Amino acid sequence: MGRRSEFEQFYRQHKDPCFRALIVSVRDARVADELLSEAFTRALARWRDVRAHPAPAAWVVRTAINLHRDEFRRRRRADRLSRPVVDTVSQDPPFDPALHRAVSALPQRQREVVALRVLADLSTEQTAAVLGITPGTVTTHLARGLQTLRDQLSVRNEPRPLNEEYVP
Amino acid sequence: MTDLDAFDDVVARLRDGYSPASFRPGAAAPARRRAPAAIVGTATALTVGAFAVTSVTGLPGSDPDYAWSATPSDLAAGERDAVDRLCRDEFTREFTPTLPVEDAAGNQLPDPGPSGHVGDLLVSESRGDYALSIYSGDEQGAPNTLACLTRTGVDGGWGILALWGGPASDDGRRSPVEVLGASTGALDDFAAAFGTVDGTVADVTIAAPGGAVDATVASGYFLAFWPESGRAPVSATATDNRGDVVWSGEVVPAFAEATEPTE
Repeated sequence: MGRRSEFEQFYRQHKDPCFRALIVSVRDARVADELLSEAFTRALARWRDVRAHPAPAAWVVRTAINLHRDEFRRRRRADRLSRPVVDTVSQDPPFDPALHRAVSALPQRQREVVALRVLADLSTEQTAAVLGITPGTVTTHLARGLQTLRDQLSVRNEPRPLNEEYVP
Repeated sequence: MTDLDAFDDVVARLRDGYSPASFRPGAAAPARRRAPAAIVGTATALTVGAFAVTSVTGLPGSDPDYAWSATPSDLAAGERDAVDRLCRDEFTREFTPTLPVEDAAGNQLPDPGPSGHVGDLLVSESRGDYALSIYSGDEQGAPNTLACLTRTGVDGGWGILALWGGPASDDGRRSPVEVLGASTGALDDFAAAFGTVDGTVADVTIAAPGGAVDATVASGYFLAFWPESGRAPVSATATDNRGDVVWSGEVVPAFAEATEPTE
């Protein structure tokens, strides 16, 4: 199989899991889309090296997350150069809004662990390597994040008690 | 037994809630992802690549404080050097890998690849307060075509507005250039066309939506950028020294024909 075909197979297999993970990590579908496009393009440009990585999908997600941080830096710089720009990003996510709200409210590290471990389907060790933390820390953040989600989502799914203030 | 087993219900909810089907035909479906490739028309006199430039400002044409011009001009030598330094510094930061070099257990991970290097300045032009510079990349750590958009009047100097790169390829046969889309922001403010020309071409004019745009033609390259929020193909015409048309065709701003990779 040629490198190009190999990359295309990799792209098809991993684009959706990586996209899901990025959406949760950056909390914006359009930004996730842009970042992932760039990350996959870089993966293609460096495919000889990326394919040798223990987890090429993790490489892509890590690159996209780094790009997101770089973009923040660039935007901060650009903010000094220009007047505010009307943000045209849709605020209506094309997926379960209650779930997305709950996930978006998680602390960043928990959100990243959930994104990589559950949605990108990386192993605990791969997730640890991407985030630069130990597998034990991954497990801890994962458990806390998932427990919080369970609590939040089960509350939302239960009938609203009468005469009791409901705090979403 | 994994660390997910105790949370089967939540994991299932997450995977269902963020299923790929949820995104199609949503606002950011991966199916729309810009991947290979936008191909422009064949020409014997002109090879055309086109790409969009990421920008984080408003449309220059609609901003009275920041002028854009349909006719290009050269930068003064001092300004050109300042822009060049600015762009090279920014690209260097962009292409310096920031990936982890070892995993959590301390095992060395393979080198993610070399840092990208910016090559020659191929062509640049200034339009009002804006300047666009095109560089060659190293094709390893960086794409082989790099664009840097800058604007003057920022704290008395120039500031970076956007960077963009794509592995445009020129196979030497004067055939169309393949452009792989890549960006890290909203691609809604500028479109740009860049390519090579042979010795017969003296002028290139782009029929942009807002009117004709004269391209810079220099050193075997042409370059033009204009305010545009769409991705519709635009026509372009190349003329020789006598004003005779030697080529005409379509310029496809990047991603207009983007498709996912196929077998």
